[in-house]
Order: sequence, then structure tokens, then C-alpha cells
Amino acid sequence: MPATPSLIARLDRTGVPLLLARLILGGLLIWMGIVKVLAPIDFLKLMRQYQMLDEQSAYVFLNLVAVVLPWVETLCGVALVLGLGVRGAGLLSGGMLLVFTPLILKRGLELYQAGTLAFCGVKFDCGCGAGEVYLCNKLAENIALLLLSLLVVFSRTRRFCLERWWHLRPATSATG
Amino acid sequence: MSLRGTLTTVVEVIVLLVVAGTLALGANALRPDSVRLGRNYFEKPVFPINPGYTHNPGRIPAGEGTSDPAAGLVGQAGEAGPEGDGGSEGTGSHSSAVEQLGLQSMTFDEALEMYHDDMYRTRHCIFVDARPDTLYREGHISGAFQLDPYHLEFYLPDLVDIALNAHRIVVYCTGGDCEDSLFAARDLMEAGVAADRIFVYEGGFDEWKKKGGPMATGGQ
Repeated sequence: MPATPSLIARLDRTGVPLLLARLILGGLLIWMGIVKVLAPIDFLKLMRQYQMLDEQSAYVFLNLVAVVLPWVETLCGVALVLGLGVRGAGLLSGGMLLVFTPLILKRGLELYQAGTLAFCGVKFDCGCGAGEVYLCNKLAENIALLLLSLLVVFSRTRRFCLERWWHLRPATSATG
Repeated sequence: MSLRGTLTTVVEVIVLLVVAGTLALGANALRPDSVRLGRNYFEKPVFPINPGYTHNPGRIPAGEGTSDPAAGLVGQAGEAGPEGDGGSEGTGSHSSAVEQLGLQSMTFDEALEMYHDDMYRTRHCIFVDARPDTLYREGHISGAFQLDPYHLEFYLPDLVDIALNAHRIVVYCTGGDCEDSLFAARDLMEAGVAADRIFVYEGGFDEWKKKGGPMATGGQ
């Protein structure tokens, strides 16, 4: 007797959770990416606050990141919305969130320790594309986006995705 | 995930990165306000520290006050000091950076006095706005020249002669911790302007606006 698929698997097969995740994640990535694409110098200045690298020796790399990263973000968003290269786009967006969320937390902690505000009252421009944001809200948003990225990567269906029609992937996959 | 699925995902990631990288570098090469990949935008200015200079915001370095027609102006205003009513709102860390770089800072009262002096009308004293173009257009110190240190090529050629002939050049940005005024000062130095003629108005445009300094809007 074949095993009955779990509720989560059955829900996943409808393609609706993936579609919602793609539209929400993709839409946000496009919006935040375009804001940075239009003002790369502003993004460069904001990236500098994280002190990821020694800016005096790694400035070429920082400049390159400021130019390329917004386009990666935008293109991932477009891929997700269209449903092309969905798993790769999900993986990239998840990777970016995994890199930048701890950096935002670190910067937020520095500002919290330097000031008199409550932790969740710390507000700063994280360079995410949405201007000044409250630290707790931004962390919660990033965690939610990370979960959506995971959903995109591990979903076994490709319903409502263009890549399905282009036979890049089957509509559903038993092995993922 | 199957091996084929994993490989497909890796290929998707590579394709996305290559396409994004190509578009990014192509667009950057075409846009007029591009990021110059080989330029260190945040290089700290290295100023020769004037031997007669001790950090005393607004005052003229020893031995220079008598020879410079703008000296009396700034020296007199400096009596108010940074703790007075017209004190700058620059932060401690920013003041420290100005001091370390061997630059002189200027308070609101001093900047306002310079604004009303005849030498401002004759361009012997000038303000230089180091903020981005959008902020400059929204509002700036009336008569200030633009020098966005991230887009020097747009502004420096027109400004350099005026700056070289000026006795006092007061650079400012937004205020607070903004460093763009320091980078603009660095660029003026590299263009040949003497460090002892460059002042940093640390309160910046935020303070100027808050205290009712004369403003203008629109482009330069």
C-alpha cells in the first residue's frame, strides 16, 4: 500500500505556496535591487558601514560588489517572478540573506551599544533599498524572506513556472 | 535532490551570476555617473599638518592671521567657540577626524558671518557643498558650489580655478557623522588648494537649515 503524502507535500503539489513565495520574494528583490541599481554610489557608501573588508586595500572588490550585487538581486527577482531558474534564484537570494542578515545584526548591535535606544528602537539605513528601517523589523523581514527562499529551493513542484513549459524541469519531482 | 537536479541548480546559479555581472558592468560603463572600479572613494585625506596649527575651531593658524584678508573674519567669529550658541553640531568622532587630518572646523556663527561678508560676494570666500546632486537641488547654502566627491568629473573642472583663488573654502555635507566634506576637502587639496584655506563646517546643512541660514534650491 503506497504511503499517503503528508499535508505539506500535498499542499506543495498544488503549486500555490511556491507561487506566493516566488511573487513575494521576487517582487521584493526587484524593488530593492532597482533602488540600488539606480544609485550605486549610495549603495557603496551604505555598504561601507559594515566594515566587511579593509576598504583601503579591497576597494576594487567593494566597488565591484556595489555594481554587481544590485543586478544579481534584480535578476533573481525577475527569475523568480517569471519562474525561470527558480531553484538557482532561490539559492542565490537565500545566500545573500545569509550573508547580510548577520551583518545587519552586527551593525544594529553596534548602534544599540553606542546609543540609548532600546534594541528594537534602533533605526538605520541598512543599504537594503528601503531607506531607514527598524532593526527588529528588518531582522524579522529577512528571516521571513529566508524561509521563502528555502521554500523555493526545496519545493518539489514547478507548477505556474515558465521553466516547466520549457521542459527545464518536470512539473513535480519525486526526488526534488 | 538528485544529482541532475543539483547540477541544474548549479548551472542556474552560474547563468544568473554571469548574466547579472555582464549587465551590471555594461550598464556601469554606459552610465555617466558610473562607479569607477579602480578608484578608492574612501581614501583618507593626508594633509600636511601646519606646524603653527593647534586645534581651535574657527581660529587662524598662528602667523597667518595678519597676511590673510579673511583671517580677521574667521578669527573674530571664533571667539564664540564651539560651546557657544553658534557651536557646531558635529559629533565628537567627526571633530576628531577633522582634527586628525589637520583641518580646521567652522561653527555656524562663523559660517554665517562669512556668508554676510563682502568677501563672500567677491568669491574670496566660498562654500562647497559635498552632498549628492539630489540633496543640493532640494536645498543648499545660497551661493554654494557643488563638489560631490563621488562624481568629481562633473564639478571639479569648473570649481578648481575659483577654489585656487579663494582665501577661505568652507566645505560641508549633511552634518553629524557624514564624511563627504572630508573627502571633498581631500579632492580640493589634490587639485592644489592649500590645506590651511580649507575649513569644514561640521554642523553641515542640517544645522544651517535648522538655524535659519540663507538657503537656495535648484541646480548650481
